[in-house]
Amino acid sequence: MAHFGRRAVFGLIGFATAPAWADGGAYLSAAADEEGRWRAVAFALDGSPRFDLPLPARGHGAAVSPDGSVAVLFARRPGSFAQLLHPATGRVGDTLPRATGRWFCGHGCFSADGDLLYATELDAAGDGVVGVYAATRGFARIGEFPTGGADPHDIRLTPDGRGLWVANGGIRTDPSLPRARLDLDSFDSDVVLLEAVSGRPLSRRALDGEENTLSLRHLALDATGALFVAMQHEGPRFERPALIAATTADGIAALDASDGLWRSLDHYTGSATAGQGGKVIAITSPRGGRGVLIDAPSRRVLGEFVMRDGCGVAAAGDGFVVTSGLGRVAMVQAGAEPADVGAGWMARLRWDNHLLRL
Amino acid sequence: MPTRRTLGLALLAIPAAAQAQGAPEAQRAAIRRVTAEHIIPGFTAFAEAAQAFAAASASPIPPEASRTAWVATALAFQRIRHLRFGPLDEFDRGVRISFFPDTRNAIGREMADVLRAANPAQMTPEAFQRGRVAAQGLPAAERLLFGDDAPRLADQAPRRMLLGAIGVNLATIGAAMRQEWQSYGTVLEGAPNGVYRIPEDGMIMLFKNLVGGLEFLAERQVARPLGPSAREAFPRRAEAWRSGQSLALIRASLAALANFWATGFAPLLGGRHADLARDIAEGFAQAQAAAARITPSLEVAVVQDRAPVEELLRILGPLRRLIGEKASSALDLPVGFNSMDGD
Repeated sequence: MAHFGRRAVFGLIGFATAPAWADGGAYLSAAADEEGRWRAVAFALDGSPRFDLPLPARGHGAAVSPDGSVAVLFARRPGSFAQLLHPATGRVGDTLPRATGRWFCGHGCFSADGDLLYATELDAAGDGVVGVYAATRGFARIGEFPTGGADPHDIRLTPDGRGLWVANGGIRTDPSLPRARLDLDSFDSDVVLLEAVSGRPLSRRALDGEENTLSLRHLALDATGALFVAMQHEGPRFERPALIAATTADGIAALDASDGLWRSLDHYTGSATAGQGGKVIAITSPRGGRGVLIDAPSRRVLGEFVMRDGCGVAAAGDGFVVTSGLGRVAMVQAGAEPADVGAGWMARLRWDNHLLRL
Repeated sequence: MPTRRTLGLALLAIPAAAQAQGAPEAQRAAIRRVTAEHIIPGFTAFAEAAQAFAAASASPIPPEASRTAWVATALAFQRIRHLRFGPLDEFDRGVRISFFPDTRNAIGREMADVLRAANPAQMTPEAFQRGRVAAQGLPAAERLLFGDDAPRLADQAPRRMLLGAIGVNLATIGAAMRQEWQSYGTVLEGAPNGVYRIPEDGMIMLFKNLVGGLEFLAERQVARPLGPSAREAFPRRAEAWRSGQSLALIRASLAALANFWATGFAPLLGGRHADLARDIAEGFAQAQAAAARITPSLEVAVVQDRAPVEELLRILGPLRRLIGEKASSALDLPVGFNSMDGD
């Protein structure tokens, strides 16, 4: 698969002064600027900028290689590109185009050795595949395997490096009717564990229920390899089911929390991540204007925080850093109010769904 | 009389002052305008239609007058269904008026229970406030008047009893909401200890309901029956397939949302955003033109002539993004695009 010449197309950018900041921790997110132009932006917690480059369309999630040398930011579904970045040098890399008849779904992850990049993708029929790219060969697309479901979204590598968890959101869309959701009444959403080397399905988990109106979309793995799933509810608004589930030994179960909590999340969660050595899971709800911190071993709610339109979330030291579409960037810990981080330039951006620690 | 010089200075000073201090006042004026020109006329129309439906359904044989009044009430509901806060949200009134979508046939089951019991005490507006959410609104009345069992209205007294009770219920709800909206506009303008503290809070609530209304229209009323293909279309998921009114409801809903935008938000955009105002007005006009091309009914079109239905969705998508992303920022309404259009 040929790369198209991104510099010629987009021109460039980059504040990067490598490698001094590489170990200071930087955070990457898709964003929109004041004029509504789509960008990929990275910052450090002292408020200094790291990357700032224009994107041809709205970005979504990102992945970073195990050694931190390369990051990939994916276009929002149905997406036509993935943007490579090189945090260690501050260099902006190639833009990978979508494969023929495939669209990026906004998420990906690297293999444990960093040699392969896995990306969730949609085919023309709306079925999910994982596209496999060889990082060692200029990110050539070397294969794909099916996810066994529609609307694949988030993807995570298991801690032992041998499995890939993929969320099949289940909501069918037609690439010719971008983002029009055609069947919200009954859809099959699940998480599937695929063998990383072969794509062979190892396990499939779906929530019990007379009817599936929950779309399983975003994933976080705790220290033990248990998978936490952040969901969106598409059923009638007067129902308020649990929006977070976690895998058990051989199944998956909704978390036990108060009705008030689920009500406050407004049928919607936007992002999930693990922090504090995989002991705490953070899940955000921009529609509810709040987020939840969960003690992973007990699966109990540790605390909540309030942030209007807060969505992007990534681990940071003893807590998390959370971004909002209203320009806010704040540190969050259980039992404390969000504490603003950063500089005026950050407040002028509208931070998009996901945040990744580089 | 000011001199020419002082007049000039005064004029120069206006834009800065308007930006610094004018926003709350402009938003307060917008809330008053949209309340007077969009919200109260809508709730008044619904209350009057529901009252007429109650009168007709008190003696529904022959059923023609009740059917006509049902259609008028269902159409009137489209003028207010997007205003899902305050009066329409209190006591779950929105769901009680229109239990839609009903993915588990709760309407059928609850109606069967109520009809079997045939107990007038279970069908009063007070009883309906406590339960039987699915059996007390427009869809239940539609089944009685237009469903396969509609002929049994003449010979089964419990069916006439339930229909009359739904009429009274809708009229009661309609009158209460109309009454509450006489003062709720002032609540929206904000008060230091109120639900809304400042006019911006009220404007954000209105704006979210505009975006939510467009989402409901696109996803529940249009995309849901359309399905992925003609073979997988679901004509019986259309909102009012029994009465054949689904398309009329979509057109009424679209007209209401266009009116909501035009009265509540477009006037705040001002000359600086004239292009955006024009694009959104065009988007609504194109959507209405596409809806006008759907023929002969939504239920038939999703199977036989899908192109205009798909075209409507193709127009509503960018229109929703234009409003959710561009208009929210142009109007300085901090709603955030993660909430408006997440993934």
